[in-house]
Amino acid sequence: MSFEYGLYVPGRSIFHRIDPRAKVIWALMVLAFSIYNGNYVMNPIYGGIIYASVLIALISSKPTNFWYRLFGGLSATILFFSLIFWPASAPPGGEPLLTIPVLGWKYTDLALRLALSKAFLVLSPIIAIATIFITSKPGDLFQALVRWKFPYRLAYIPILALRFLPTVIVEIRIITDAQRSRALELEKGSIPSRIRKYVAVFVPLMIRMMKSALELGVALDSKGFGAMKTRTFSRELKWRIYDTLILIMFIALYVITLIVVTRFLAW
Amino acid sequence: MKERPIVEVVNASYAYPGGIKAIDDVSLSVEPGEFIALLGQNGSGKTTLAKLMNGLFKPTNGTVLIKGRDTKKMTVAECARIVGYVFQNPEHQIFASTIYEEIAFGPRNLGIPEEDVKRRVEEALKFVDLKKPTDAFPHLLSVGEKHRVAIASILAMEPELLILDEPTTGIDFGRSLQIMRLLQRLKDEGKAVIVITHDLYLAAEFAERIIILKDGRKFADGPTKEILSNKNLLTDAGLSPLQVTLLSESMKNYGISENAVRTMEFVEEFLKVLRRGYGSRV
Amino acid sequence: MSTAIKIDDLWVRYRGEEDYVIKGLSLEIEEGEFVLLMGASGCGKTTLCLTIMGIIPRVIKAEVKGNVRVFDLNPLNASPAEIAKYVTIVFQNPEMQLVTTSVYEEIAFPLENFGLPQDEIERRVEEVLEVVGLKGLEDRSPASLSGGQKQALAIASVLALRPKIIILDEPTSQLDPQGTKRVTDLILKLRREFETTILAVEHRVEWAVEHVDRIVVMNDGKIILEGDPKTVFSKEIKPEETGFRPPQVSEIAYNLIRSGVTFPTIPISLNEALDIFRGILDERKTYS
Repeated sequence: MSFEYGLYVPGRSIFHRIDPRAKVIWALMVLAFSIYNGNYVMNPIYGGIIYASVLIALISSKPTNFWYRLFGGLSATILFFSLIFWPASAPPGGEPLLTIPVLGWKYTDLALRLALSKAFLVLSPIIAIATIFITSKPGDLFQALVRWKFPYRLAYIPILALRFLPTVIVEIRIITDAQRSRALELEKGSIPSRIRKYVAVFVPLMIRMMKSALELGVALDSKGFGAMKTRTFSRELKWRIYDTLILIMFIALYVITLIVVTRFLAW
Repeated sequence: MKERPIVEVVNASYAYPGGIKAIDDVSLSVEPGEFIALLGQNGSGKTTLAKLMNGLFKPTNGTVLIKGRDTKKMTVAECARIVGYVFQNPEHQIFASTIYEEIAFGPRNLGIPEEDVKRRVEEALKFVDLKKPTDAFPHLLSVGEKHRVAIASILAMEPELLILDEPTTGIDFGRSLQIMRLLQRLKDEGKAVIVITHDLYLAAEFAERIIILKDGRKFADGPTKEILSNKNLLTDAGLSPLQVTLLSESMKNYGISENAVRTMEFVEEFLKVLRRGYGSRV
Repeated sequence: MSTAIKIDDLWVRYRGEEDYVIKGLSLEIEEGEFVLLMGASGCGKTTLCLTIMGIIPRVIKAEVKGNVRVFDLNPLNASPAEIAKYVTIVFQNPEMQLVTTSVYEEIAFPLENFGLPQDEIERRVEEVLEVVGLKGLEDRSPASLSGGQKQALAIASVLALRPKIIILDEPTSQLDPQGTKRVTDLILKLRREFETTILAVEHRVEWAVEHVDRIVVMNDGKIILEGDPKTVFSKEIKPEETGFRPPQVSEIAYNLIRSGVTFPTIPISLNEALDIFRGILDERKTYS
């Protein structure tokens, strides 16, 4: 994946067309409902439904393989560790599902509920936030922040980070190649020695970044950034009906499902 | 028995995942004592070819041999013993807190014993004519000094072939001449030098062999005089002939016998024709 | 024609440094002139450019003595908004000047910063895209462009401000021949079509001599040579001192002069050289 637009992956999916402000509100909803479920309701079916909704949002945006691999791996990892470690905090009682005699472990259904809910609590907001970045152009995100009254000089900092992501990736590759050409073997040796070897990559990178920061500052100033209190936007974000409709849809999904699941599927 | 060339590229191709061929079926060999200028538009594959020659890239097709050994069976570190690569911007390499440590880095990575390292560092500094104390902080040096530290740090690894990626881009001409003269001394000592450059003037004055790449393929490979005096060849490759070449070509009918590629070649030709009293305008 | 840039006895010293980088420099540039600024590394060329822009001392802290005027403005204490109407700058490394993730946004960026209304911004962006030859690439990310295109985009983004003066600090030094041609053609176009005053730090002398009005050579913070190209190259230029090499045809002439050949004038372009060299041989013929 080239990261040439930061984390943004160009496309024409539904999520691409939604106003970034609506997407941020949606992600906050996902976060709120995930926390509520993960800490109070602890219904893994509900958690799973929220998770499925963010997965569908992500997949419908047609991200690159990088994102599939990243979230596939992340989901598997978090699920795995949740299933192993959360049962230790499980409330007592409940039906034993699995007993491992050697470790004297009893895996109860309450433990499973807990572990799954916690896994979804972590995963859903992360994927929702990633989806915002994948489907929104950095320039639009910037505008969204400024329209929400964030001071634009601060709001542009994350946008610059996105803009320079491909640049930093290339720099790291060049520096690593240069040092490998001096017989630096990063794959060999013990963990501590390998960390020490990375100094040869880290130091030039930091110095380059500091110098670039100065150049960047001068460039921004010469383009009038910060010269005026407010700035205009050439292509204005327009909140449309379907932005409202999508939000209503998600609210309905999360609230109605919550009610149905807690009333009828008490697991 | 004739010694093997330092590097042999045998029908090598390099394709990126996705299928784009950065290098397409290129063959060439590099002997000790050669001074080669590698030319071509950006995207023609020059840097990829250079990385194939120092083992950073392994060919997806074909072979690259360093002193007879297949690079696919060598680590980059093993290749670095023989082929040194100086990157364009010394700031991509310089990381140590003293000049000594910086230059010692390469040899130490090669497992050279410490007494030998000391000798190599001193010799390398002397060769590049850097008169700064070895405990000085390399990051505070001037641009020209940093370039010399970068070259010294590769020289200390005592490679047989030195590849430099655009060593004169972005620095002033006086400094560029200094660096080219330094490389000339290397060649005089029997090393091979490959310079990737856009500067035809410097290529003409210092290199005796020119390789031009176009779209990943070898477009031209031959003696400097032959390649750089060929106006049509250069134009096809997207390069502009030197003023001296155009000048000599336009004065053929005045008795200028050859297409010069160096300033002094034309100067000498002109003086010859002038002294002969070129009444022979027949 | 008014004076575009007037510098009087300028001294600049970076904060924390002992030596002055610019030492009593005076320079006048007329509106519409194309001036080439040259010199070895460290001679103060970039410092001079930054001072004319007011970036020194506003962004980069330095002690500045003397007078600088850009038209009727004093950049040393004017606001960026005022300065941008008159003069803008493009640097060597396009990478660190492109601050957005699309070509369109990049050109619009300075206009947005100065609060121009939407329709004005749209109009100017379209216009500039046409001038620099990037039409059709509006949604491309700057990171994906070639070197020459990136530099053209950097120029485009300051062009949208319709400055009277453009300063270019080594705009082609990182580019390959194709990229260089793109940028040098663009510079000539700006001169021809917009009569922009141009101050360029550039080492590609052979191209420049045919187009610039004046060459200014700096060394150690001072101007050591100044004049139109013919005048500047009329005496031998030593690359080690000046940091650049003369046009090859001039270099050939210097060498021939050393061998006793007389020249009516030192050629600085290929055509001129052909005339002069042929002339010398023709004259000789009449004697033989």
